[in-house]
Amino acid sequence: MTNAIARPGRSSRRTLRAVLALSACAAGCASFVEVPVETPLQSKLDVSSFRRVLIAGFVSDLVETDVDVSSETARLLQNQLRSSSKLQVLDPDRPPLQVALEKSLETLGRAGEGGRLNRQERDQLRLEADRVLQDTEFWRRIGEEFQNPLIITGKLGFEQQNRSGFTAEERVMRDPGTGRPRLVRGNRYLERKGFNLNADFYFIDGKTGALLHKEKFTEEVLYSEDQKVSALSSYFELMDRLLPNFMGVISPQRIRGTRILLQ
Amino acid sequence: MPSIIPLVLLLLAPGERSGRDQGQDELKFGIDVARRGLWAEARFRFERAVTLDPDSAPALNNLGVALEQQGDFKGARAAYDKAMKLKPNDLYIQQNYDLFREADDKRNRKARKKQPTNP
Repeated sequence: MTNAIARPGRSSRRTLRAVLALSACAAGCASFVEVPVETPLQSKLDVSSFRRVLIAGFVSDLVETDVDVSSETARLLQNQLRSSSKLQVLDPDRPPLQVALEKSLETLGRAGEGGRLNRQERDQLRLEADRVLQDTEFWRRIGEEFQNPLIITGKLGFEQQNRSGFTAEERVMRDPGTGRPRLVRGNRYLERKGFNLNADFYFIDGKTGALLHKEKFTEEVLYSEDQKVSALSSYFELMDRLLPNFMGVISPQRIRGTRILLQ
Repeated sequence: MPSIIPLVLLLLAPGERSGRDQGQDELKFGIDVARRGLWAEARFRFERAVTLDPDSAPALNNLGVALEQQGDFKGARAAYDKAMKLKPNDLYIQQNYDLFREADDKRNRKARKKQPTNP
């Protein structure tokens, strides 16, 4: 046997080469399988002590727009929380923050008048909104009224922006002399409009009125001038991007990806 | 030609091969169940494959993936680290490790931010 291995014939040599090639391949070009994975990502806020959640309304940027950002956001968040969290979503007749701000409008003598606020009134109302958002006692009372929920409130800004301007671009062009392709850098004027959404979410403990967590999100979308996109559909596009991050604050998320398993 | 002898002897050595063969079987079964999303079973199989062949980079890589999927990030990092040390030039292991680190850094950043904000 030893002799046979030490002095192999032609066919044995071929077999040995195949074995060597196979072992080399097994070492160097291992077969692989790509699998989808979902890795868990813990929520930023532990909301296990809450059974209910109250969307208490939002302060919008107080400028007249085509989109009622405050009520649309409240409705969207309520729907999202109903479908993706275990918390019972409370549905107040009127958002408590809105009620509080209307009272402030009364003190400005603008109750029920509608119409545009002047700059000074807007500034006053903004200050008042900031004060209410940080008023622990106010939120504790709201919490008591709604049986100690997690309260979500905050400030929202949604605006259209003209983002036309020069943008850098690179083009591959053929050199007329040599016929070789070459990279040409230049600037091009583009007519564009954009929508910007800023959201400052406050997560408040309804038992104590204390601020548990504050999170700021900013999203922007740009369209070329020939794209006819309404403010409302842009708003939904931006909220669609923002919602997973918002949900990541209060519920565990999963990061989807792929990994390679080796044989 | 004499240089081939040790290799052939190695291939024919029954004890060592059986351990590796068993590890290979566990690895294959682990991959099969992982593809069907049964990650707890896959993890168990990959752990066995590593026990049977502690220097198997594929087994350690696969164990890293299973641990990552199950949320044991410390264990996953250790498994990937060892797989990388055993096969530093393996592009697949490197790719998994890079993706793992990217996600793990994101998680760690979130954890650091998790400190409650003062009102």
